[in-house]
Amino acid sequence: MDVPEYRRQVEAELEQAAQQQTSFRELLGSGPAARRKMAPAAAALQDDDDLTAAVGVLSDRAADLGLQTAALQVISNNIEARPELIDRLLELLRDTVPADLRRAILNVLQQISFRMVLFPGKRPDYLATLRSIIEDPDAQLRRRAIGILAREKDEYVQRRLIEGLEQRSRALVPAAKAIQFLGYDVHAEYFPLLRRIIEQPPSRAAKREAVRLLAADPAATDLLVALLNDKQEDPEVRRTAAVALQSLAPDRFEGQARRIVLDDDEDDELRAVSISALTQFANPAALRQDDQLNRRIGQLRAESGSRQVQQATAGYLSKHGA
Amino acid sequence: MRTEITLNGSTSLADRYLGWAPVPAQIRLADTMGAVGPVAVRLRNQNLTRGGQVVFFTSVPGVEQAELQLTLPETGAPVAFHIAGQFQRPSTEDGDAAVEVIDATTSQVLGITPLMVRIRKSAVTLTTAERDRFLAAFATFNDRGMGRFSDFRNVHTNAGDPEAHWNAGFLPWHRAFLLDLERELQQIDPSVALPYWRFDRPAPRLFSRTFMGVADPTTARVQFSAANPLQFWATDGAPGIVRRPFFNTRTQSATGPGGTVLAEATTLSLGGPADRYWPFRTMEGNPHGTAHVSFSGFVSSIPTAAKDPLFFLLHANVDRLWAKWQWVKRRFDVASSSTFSVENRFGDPGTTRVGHNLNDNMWPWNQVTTPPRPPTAPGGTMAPSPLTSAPGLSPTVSAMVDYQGVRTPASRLGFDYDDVPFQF
Repeated sequence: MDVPEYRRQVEAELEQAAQQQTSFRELLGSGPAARRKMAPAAAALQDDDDLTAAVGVLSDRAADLGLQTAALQVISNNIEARPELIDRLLELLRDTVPADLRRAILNVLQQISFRMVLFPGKRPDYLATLRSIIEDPDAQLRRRAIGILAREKDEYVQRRLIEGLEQRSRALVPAAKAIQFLGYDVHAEYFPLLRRIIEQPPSRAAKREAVRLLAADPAATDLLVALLNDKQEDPEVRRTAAVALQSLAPDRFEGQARRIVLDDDEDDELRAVSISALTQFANPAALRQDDQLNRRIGQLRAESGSRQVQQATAGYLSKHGA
Repeated sequence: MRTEITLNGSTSLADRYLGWAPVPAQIRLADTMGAVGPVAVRLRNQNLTRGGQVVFFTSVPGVEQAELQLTLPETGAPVAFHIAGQFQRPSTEDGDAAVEVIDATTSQVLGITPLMVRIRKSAVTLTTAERDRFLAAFATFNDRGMGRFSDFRNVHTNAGDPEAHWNAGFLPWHRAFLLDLERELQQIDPSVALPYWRFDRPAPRLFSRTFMGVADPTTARVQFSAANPLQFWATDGAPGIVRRPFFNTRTQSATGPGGTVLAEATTLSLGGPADRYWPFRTMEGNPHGTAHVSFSGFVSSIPTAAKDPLFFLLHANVDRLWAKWQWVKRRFDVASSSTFSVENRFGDPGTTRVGHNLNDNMWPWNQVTTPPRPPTAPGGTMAPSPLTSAPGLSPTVSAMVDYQGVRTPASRLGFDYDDVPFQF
């Protein structure tokens, strides 16, 4: 298609979309099915009366969630003109309105944080509100609030997460998520706790997350090597140990990766991970001279029934093959 | 006889990359043996059925031609012309767009110049090889958290927030941020262009283990196939990525509990009846912010968003939407308040936070660390390009606007999108 014809086509599409746009007040008068279809576009087209209507819908406990979500979008789009509405959203987030609506409000507040020039002034209230709901009965809302605070490196929530890992009765979220949230701001004082979790894990996922965070602990190299070499260990934990070791001590990992590739009795996926790591990060000159490794990778390419190994060996040979 | 083509004044392989915008070229007889007078030649695509395709211009502005007839002096003096990628015919491999020079009299081939029509494409349309080259370059650049990528990660934080968000400079700043990253990736593999995530459509191929990964249902930790180099992704000393979509990536556009991203056509209408920049930039909320918060995890918060490589594909789509709006509404003239304005006032009122006015230099590339700028400026100046001197090492907001060089050819930044053509 030539460019002038393409322009005519795009302009026609925009014209058609413009005709389908509707205002929020028109949305109010439509049925639920039409609302779902119209809501995203309605959020883009509004005036002061639409905004007033949207604020009303948000406060109407009888309104359905789809309509309230559309109202939230109208408010979000106009938030720079009516910054006081942030206070109203924070109030509703702390309120007893249905959890679905509160989750939507939290989502919109987070969206506003990406674009509103006045948001920094509201940030202390926002964070305080999030702290006030980290024990909310709604698990999703609780987890999202904790996640946002953790990404902001909030010390209060970090302390509460550690408490929950040390005393499970005080846990705000499952152990794996708590460790993951602490990972946004890794401190050396977490490392003993992570080692205890690895020794006595509350769940497999928690053990994997703890192993992963030990990539930040310079003293963890031997532990990660031991986990990687333990064929009785959960394969996913071993793969996580490989990734952590690769990050913490690349030279040490390369020796282990070579051993894993050459070992006939190793787990295929771990072998594939090892080959991929060598492909991507090992010294190409050293790899070219490693006849034993290259023969083995050629053999795996020819004989392995594992799709993962096939993909990894193909990548290796494409980059380093003769 | 043998011909030689130069692009941007160079015969270097590093310069053989084209977008949709015409670039100056020259052709000359490099070996005149056998020439008894001026030689009539034809320039054309070597293979019309596969690979990237180019078009020619005798001058610009001008009409594109599939073939170009020129007469080359037997002295070896160069003849100027312009060349561009043919819209909707991008390359998939480096050098797959070859220009063939034919002696118009004898039909003898006098030269073949391999080029690449290097275009930013929708991530779901990449070939396997294109995807793998992009992933490998990105993983190499990050180097398990120890590479230069950490500067990019450290720029997009709460400290850098006011430089990048909440005002008129949002779109130009992120255009520069993407360009800087893309140029770094191209230093690792020059065939790589940044793909974009078209978030108003389902993208199952993107959210797969072989590309941007799939969330573990228990922990939201992103999982990759064993051959995907992103499995070794690490930032801030910790390996891995956390990201869980609130929507079905196979069947839905980006949707969070607070709403769905605006469709492209709706976004392109945000400029209102007069198609002005200031209302258009409200796309910073929806679709941009809405796309960010359609996931939990890194990408949903400003301080951590750039830890996730998806951030750059999301923002490439935001930038594509701006580029498409610019093209369809013809918004390249920086002297027009419809092209760029701050709170509906033209260009550089000086009252807006520094960094968002038309003639402001942008942080961190300006390396200014005195208030109100952030206290550090990670990463140094803008990565240079062998293809263009724009936008300079310390770009202004203004330098990011006419990215194709529609109004001023020298302002061409050296990237294009698969669905946004160049048009005089």
